[in-house]
Amino acid sequence: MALLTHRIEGSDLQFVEITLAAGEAVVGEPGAMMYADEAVEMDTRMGDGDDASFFGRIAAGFKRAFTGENFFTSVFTNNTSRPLRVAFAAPSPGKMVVVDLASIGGTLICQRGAFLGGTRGVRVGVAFKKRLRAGLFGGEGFVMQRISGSGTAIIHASGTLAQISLRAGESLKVDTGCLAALQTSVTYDVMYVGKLKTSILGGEGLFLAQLKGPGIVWLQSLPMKRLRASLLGASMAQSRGAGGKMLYFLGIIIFVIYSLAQLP
Amino acid sequence: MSEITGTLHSPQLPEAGVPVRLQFLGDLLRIEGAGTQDVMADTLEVSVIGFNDDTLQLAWQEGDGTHAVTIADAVSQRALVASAPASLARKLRGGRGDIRFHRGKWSVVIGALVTCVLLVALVWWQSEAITEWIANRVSMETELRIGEHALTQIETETELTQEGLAAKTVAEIGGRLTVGSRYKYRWYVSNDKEVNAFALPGGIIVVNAGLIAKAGSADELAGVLAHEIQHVEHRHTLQQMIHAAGWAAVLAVVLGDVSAITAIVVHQLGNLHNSRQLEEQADVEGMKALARAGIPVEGMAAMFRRLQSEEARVGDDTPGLLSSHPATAERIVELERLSKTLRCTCRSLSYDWPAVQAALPGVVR
Repeated sequence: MALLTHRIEGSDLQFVEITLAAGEAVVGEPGAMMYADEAVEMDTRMGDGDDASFFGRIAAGFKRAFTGENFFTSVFTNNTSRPLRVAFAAPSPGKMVVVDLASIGGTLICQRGAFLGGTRGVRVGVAFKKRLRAGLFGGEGFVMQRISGSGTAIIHASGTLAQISLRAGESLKVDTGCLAALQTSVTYDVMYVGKLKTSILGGEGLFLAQLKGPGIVWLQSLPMKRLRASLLGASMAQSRGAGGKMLYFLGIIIFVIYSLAQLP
Repeated sequence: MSEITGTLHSPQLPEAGVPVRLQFLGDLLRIEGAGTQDVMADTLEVSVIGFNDDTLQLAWQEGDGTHAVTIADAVSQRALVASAPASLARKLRGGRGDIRFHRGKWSVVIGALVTCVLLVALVWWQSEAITEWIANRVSMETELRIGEHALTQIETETELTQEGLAAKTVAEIGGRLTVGSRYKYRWYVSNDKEVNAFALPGGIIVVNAGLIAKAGSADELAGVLAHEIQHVEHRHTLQQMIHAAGWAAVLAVVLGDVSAITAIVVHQLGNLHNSRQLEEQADVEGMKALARAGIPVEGMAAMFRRLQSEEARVGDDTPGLLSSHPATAERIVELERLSKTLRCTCRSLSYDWPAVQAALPGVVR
């Protein structure tokens, strides 16, 4: 399958423009499309947007929904004889990575909701983490995304994405939640942070994710959870300020009423 | 021999690895794909790696660092084990065992959970069939013992008698209805004012004085008796007790309190509620028993009708027999329909009914 011709624009709030060759088709998450040439044909299909049987498409749809994607897929096809453009925008601040699936062995494991689009025929399935401790404490949960096929997959994660290669036997300590994607040959486990003092005061929690090579991993600098917590914390702080002001006014009102009641 | 495919990870190669074909030549492992290289089989270290713990890794040290081939698909893994030299094959089999263990443990856990849920659902769904099955395996002696235990419980609350005209009448009518039964029936009249009658396991039937006082004729009493006798004959009471005891046992296991069982079973003795199906069975079989004994079958429906009108008149004070034997209108209609279909050369019972009522123990008027 041919690889997609693409261009990523923007630094932290990115979109990707794909140039569709004549007859080529891409799939994208519903709602991700930013713009497309007039002649690009847009279609919405159940499941992965491929030509599977009806029940196969329903099953694929449920698999996708289970891994944080939409039940439906938008398919963009170029039925003209000249190249056309279609662009997908990232849903949150972060980075996109375009992965050639064939070069990494045909399968990529991602965190839930990472898939943004790709060559038509790329399938999104469930990667169930079978190690109890990694599922519970690894920060990614038990269900991750298995993106497989032979074309291009575009994944997205919040924060900045770092691609790190691990040699055979080489191992990396990663803050839980920062794992965005990994090759299937990488072993993913959790380890206790090591010292009681560090686990309480170190700020990394009790566990760290452990990634062991060989293979490539993609790490994100700002997991969605942390971004949400910091935004929520900021907005809470503001509302707490407002609450304090309210309390202040309430105190004055009570004082005034009390003083009035004391008058003869 | 199928082809063994894997991925080679070496310091000089692309980080994602390069697809290769593997082959054993004696003690050498030949790796083809990124050029051809041979590795001594006894320098290979076997481990299980990967996101799913389903990939075999053969690693070795050479010059600039660690090299490894990873074999992910099961077919290649089997072929690898089959063709490897003896010393390596043993290690590989260990690795394959680990992979199977990782895969199997979840199947076992999920299988066990599903089995538990299905079992509970099945027991819930078929609880009546199960209690019936158990009830039919209780021996007559045990049944009688349970009945007598229950009787002593009831005797602490009310006064029971087998003496006097009322009890004699009950025993006589009951005797006619239970000709040829495998149970040896005992008939009691209690001094309870509540309009009720109940059957205990083993053939013990207690009729409250209140019921006899309310009944309009001996035929109506016979109707009630015929119904209660069926609860004994078909072991309904026993089934309900087993049912209650079963749930009490579950409760006791959950709460860890054995005294809960006794408390619940004792409580249940007083007001055992038979299910709708069991009541229907008792109605139909009771009717047939009445017909066989030559007693007018209309008595049963008449008794229920009397109780229903009583309930309407008195209001909230529901007679006990109705609370345990709900006399819905449709049930009465069904009883009357049945009484028309049954052929019987019946003659009304010739008792001096007012005299029987006058001989009741205690003051119930």
